Amino acid sequence: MPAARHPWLPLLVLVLWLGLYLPQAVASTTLTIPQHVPSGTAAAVTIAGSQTFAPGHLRIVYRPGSTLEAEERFPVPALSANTPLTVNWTPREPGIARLEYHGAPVASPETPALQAQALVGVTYATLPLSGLLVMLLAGFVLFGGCCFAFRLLRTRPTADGPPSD
Amino acid sequence: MPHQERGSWRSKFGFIMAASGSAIGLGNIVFFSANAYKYGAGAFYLPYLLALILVGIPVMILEFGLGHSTRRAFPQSLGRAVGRTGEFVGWWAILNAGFITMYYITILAWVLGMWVGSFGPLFSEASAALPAFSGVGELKNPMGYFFAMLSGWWPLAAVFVVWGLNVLIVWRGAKSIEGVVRFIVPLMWVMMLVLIVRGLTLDHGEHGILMLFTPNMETLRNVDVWKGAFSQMFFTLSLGFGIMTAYASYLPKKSDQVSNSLMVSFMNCSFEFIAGLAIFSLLFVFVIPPKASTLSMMFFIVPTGIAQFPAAVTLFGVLFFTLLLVAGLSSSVSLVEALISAMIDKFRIARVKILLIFSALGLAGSIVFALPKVIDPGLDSNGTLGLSLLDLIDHWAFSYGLPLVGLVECLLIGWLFPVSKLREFINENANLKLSPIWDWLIKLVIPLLLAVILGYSLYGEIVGGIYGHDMETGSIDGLHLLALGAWLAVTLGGAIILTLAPNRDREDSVTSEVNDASR
Repeated sequence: MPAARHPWLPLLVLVLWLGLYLPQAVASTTLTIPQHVPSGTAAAVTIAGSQTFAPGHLRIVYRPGSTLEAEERFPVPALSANTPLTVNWTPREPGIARLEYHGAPVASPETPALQAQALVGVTYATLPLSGLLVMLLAGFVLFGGCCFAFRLLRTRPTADGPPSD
Repeated sequence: MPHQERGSWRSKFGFIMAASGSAIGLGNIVFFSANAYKYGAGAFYLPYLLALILVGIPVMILEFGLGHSTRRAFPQSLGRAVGRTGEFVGWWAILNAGFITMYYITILAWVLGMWVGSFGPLFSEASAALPAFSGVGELKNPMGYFFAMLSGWWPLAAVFVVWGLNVLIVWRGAKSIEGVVRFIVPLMWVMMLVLIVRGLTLDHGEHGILMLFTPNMETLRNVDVWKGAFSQMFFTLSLGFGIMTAYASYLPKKSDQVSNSLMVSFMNCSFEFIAGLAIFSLLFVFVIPPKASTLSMMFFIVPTGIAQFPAAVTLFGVLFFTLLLVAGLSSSVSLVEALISAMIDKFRIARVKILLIFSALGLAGSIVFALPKVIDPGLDSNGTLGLSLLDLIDHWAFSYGLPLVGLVECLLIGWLFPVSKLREFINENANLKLSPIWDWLIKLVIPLLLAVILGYSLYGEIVGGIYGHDMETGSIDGLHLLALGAWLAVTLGGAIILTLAPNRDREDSVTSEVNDASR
């Protein structure tokens, strides 16, 4: 059955609109990282731009958009114009994460602002037993419930009641 | 009324397919995944399974039992059980479901539009120009395609098509519905399995599934998670619409409502389980965080993933939108049937006549929700007048209407009927007998849970302002109040009129066994 909730729409429009126009409009700063990286292993994050930035920071949002959003941030050294900067980041949690580079141009020093971002899929380094357990348990309850109900439907009533149709 | 107007299911299988087809709708395919992601993935399963056992299955047994025992649609069932108050609640529920039917069919019309678009620009062009949305100008597809479609008039033609399909399927009642669902419900499972295989065979697809099931137990301390799980259960099983009562009223006298309820509930939730596998693997592979909204998941998020498939993009795009269409149709026909059967029972009008009258009214309503007038050119809120109205009405009809119906029906049957009589009737044909615990779930536990959910939602409304007060509606001031007023006026006013209208239903046409027993 339906449920048409979309209070997130403006944000999504903004994200897509930025995706379309930001590369041309700002075109100065990019954040590059492989689309999938393993958790617990350092991954190279490359920041490049046509402007010089004062030291800023990298903000990582784990599980963006969920009620369990968690973030971490760590400092990033100054970024020189047209000289890519590579920093190492070790993802601590598997799942989807959003990386944001916040910096302030040296030409107009102000509070560091979002300059570039990227989404990354952090893969599981080892098979999570709890996940496997929940999957098996939920599958057992739901599909087991189907089988149980099916058997009941195929069985004639046990009491003195009449047979089912 | 000639008795054949009511009709009956030709087989158990047909009934199970129809009831599960009603329950498995657009929300099952995408909304469950979105909710699971939002509420902590694996840990969400704990409140979800509890909600299934504590609320979902007991209320489904209640609704099936009511329809089966009285052999009547929802208003007449409640009316026979507890008198005029019950009938009023039943009509209110049916009219609330009427609003949902109208906008649900509009959404299906948009799905049809996206289905057509899958053959062409939706996946083949990167972006779409949006001249009507001057504040945006151009947007990436599929979102661009969706809003370009929304601001045009041709989705109105799609509304006609979808209503036409509904009329055809409901034309001969249970007989024609059964003929269609026997084919399309199994087809839905097959299509979903194809999507799972595709998702899992993409690089890193299996990590998406691990992401879906790996629990984060912190989340269980969050009240919103529990509220989300219990609300989800009510919506996903099509409870509070009057559908299950209408469908059960077409069952033969000796039917097992406990087994039927278990079968339909578990099938519905199993479908959500496998849909989660497909959606999470797809989203993880292309690193797209889900959004907790059916519309965004259907029209933007999942298609964005499909667009990045290494091959056969059009094929999978068409498959996905076909799946949505089929799932949506099996639900929308049940919504239409719930209303038609109630009208037939009350007024003894010929099926075709009331079907055509209701379809004409419903069509007009669906057109309102499809109105392409742009009132928010910057897309700060919903863009068009139609989508804004849909959003507002959906808020009241879904978030408040359905739980309220569930709460009141449990109280009425629990305390006034009384529920033990219904349990005895259900147990006569049940392989698995209900214990008195079920009585207390209906009398106390479920009303309490639903009251807490409703109270919590209402509190949020009072503190944060009435839903839609901050919505961008252009020159139309107070659209949110207008929508709330229209919803209240039509549901309450209509329920009063329909309850007071002369009843042409006759007791002698079909035996009302529970009533006989309780007299």
